[in-house]
Amino acid sequence: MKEKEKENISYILEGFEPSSELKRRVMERASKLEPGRKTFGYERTTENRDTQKEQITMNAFGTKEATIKRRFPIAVISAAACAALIIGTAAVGLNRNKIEPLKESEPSSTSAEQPPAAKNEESITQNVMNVTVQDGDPYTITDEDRIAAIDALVEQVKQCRVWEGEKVPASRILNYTINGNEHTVEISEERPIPEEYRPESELHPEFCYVITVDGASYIICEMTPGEPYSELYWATGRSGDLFFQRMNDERSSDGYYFDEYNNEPDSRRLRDIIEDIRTNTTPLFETEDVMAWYDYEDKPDWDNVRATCDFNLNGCHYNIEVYSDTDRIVLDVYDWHDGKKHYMIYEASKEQIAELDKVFDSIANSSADTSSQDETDETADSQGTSSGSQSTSSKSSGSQSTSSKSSDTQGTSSKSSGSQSTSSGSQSTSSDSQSSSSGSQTDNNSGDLIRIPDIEGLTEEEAAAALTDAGLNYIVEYWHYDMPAGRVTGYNYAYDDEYGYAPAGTYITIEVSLGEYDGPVEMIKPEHGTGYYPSRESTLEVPLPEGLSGSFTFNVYIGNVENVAYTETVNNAAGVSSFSLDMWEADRGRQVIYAINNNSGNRKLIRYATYEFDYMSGTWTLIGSLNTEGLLNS
Amino acid sequence: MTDEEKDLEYVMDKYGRTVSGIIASMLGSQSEREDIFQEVFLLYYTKDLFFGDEGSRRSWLIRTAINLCRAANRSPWYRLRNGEEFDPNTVQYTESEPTDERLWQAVCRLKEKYRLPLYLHYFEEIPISDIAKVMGLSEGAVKMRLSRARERIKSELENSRNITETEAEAHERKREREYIIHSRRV
Repeated sequence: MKEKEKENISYILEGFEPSSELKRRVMERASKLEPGRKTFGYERTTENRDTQKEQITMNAFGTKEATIKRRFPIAVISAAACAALIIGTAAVGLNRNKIEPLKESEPSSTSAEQPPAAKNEESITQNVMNVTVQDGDPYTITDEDRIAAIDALVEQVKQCRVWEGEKVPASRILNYTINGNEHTVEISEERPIPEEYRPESELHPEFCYVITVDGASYIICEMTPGEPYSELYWATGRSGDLFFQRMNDERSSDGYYFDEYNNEPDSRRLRDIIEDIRTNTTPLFETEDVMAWYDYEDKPDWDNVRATCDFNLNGCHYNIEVYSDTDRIVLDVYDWHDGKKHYMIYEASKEQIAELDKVFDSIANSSADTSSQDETDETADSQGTSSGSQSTSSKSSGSQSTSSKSSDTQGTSSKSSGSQSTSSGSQSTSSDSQSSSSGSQTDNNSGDLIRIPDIEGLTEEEAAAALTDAGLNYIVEYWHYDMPAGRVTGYNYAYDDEYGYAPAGTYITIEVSLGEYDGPVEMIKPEHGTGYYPSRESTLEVPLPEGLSGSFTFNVYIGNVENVAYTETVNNAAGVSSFSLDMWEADRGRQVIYAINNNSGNRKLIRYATYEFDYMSGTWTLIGSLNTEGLLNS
Repeated sequence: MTDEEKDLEYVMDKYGRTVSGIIASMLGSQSEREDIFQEVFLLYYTKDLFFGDEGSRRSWLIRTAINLCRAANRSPWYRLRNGEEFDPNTVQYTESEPTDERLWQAVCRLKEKYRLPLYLHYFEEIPISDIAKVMGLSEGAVKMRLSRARERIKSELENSRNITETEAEAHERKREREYIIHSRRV
């Protein structure tokens, strides 16, 4: 990071340092409160969800140091911050080294990539590169030419600068034998370039890989001549890995859809279309020189791009961009056969554009409904893809599936589940409203933690179904947000330990967008569209159904069920026609009133009514209808 | 001082700045920020909590700060109680220079969904995987938001850059910008 940038952030962060007076006030208030119990130090892996119960009640200094990572460069300023691009000068010299069999031979596979041999098969295979990855299934590369090309890239890496920093974890490990020599190559995660390794370049490279070849580590940086930054990554990539973006997609939460996962059949279809275009159409512009590419003035306007897709097929990398205002398409292709990257602009035909859109639709649809999708050879074949098919196991990485994990420590916790607030119309802030109403997350001692499904971008109904299916309860909260109205912006809940997991039955708040606030401009601060709308005090009168009896508490929550913003208890509802809540509300704020039957054992929350406030008139409008049936049957 | 109070003091020393920065990136007025700061740490103090490791404690504090800020953003009560005008740029720098203010103001002008991950990642050096957990997003979504946030910040800063730049400089930046928008990876 540049010194100046470091200083900038440092100055800003200094401003956030809490004053000693502020800390003193916290300590003073704390001294009057009952402390909670902190338990610290059990181990849990996120993979097997096993919890080893090694509870240690934490004392003041019984804490482990947090891992402090190196300061990330302030790429917000840096021009080339998010580039993962390399100058295409690092042509691969295909030296075609002879690949020799490993110690124990097995028949060579005709498939370019296959699931790896079982681990106990030490023979591995001959002429095979085994690739293990940090997140995902391992795979193998069997194409001898490709392995030779990769080896050439590895040799090129060994000419790069030696990495003398600390050991860097590998995200991809290659094991192969060539010319009788076994090699292990570890490729790190893409990471910021430490200042001392930053190449002198007008292009301001920001990211690097640390490559460890048979124990010796090297650093290769993006946009640096002679360093095969993207080439090695792409050439060793899993076939079918795909990154897809589409703008103005109605299915997306904010009009911007993207996904990253493995879809080899669609990658093949795209590759075939690209080859068709390259074969049958004359490019408007083509170059292998990256600088010439960026200096070329007549490229389509990126602001009008409507879809892009990057994908890897047999170690070759393809990127295609289509635009909303032109039939011109932009292609760039990296091919390990010649080690070059080709940049092209074509005028595509309507038919070709239609074909591309068809595949894009397929990608979007296939990613939408996958929590674990397996694309197989059969699928590829059924798509009528080109020859040279390969098999690979593929897995969606774009979506979360619900899973549970054991959490005895959580299950036996004694979280506060105190009495609920009953003050009429009172407001309670977070710190003094911990008294949980029913629907408390603390009654469940099932011992299982459920992974909360990814609900962002779904509709309210879809999110509710996803949570219910996962074994969770939900409440709904509305707010103005920069997402289309009706889409879920995220979730919220009072949680301990690991965010994203909750005991079965926990009430998760589904946050639903009301769209961006479009009230009079002078009423809002445009910098913060999420809050501070004109607001005022108002009394909300809520009717109750005839025939209701028993005791009910009506709550409005903010954030999660542990934050009761407004509450009213009707101890004997018989003959009561309504209750009221004194509220502060913002223009077009929408509040949901939940009821609890205090005489019922299950203490379930009943969504009773939804109201929206109009600041100008000071009135509340019922949205939908009252759930009188739910109340009466509770 | 009890063990619990010592722990609270320790945690405030260790994470006070992180929590304060998150709050500052989400709330406008100084007094609001101080209120939320107190609430975060008092919640920490009073709740029974389990932490698998230090990272999970940090995540809890971050998420709690976010929750309380969002609640405050949605609650006009905070603002009316304080009687203050909202100003997202009222960071109290101890020693600031114009560039600091420009950068922070550019950060504050981002929409929350971009601003928060950007702040957590680039200012607080929180790994993307942790941000994903804290925000309930996939890592891919966090990366995408970071990418977009960077583009917007850069654009913002470029717009406010001194217009006396030479033509060569302008050309260079144009080239750099194209690197950004065309960058891809699989």
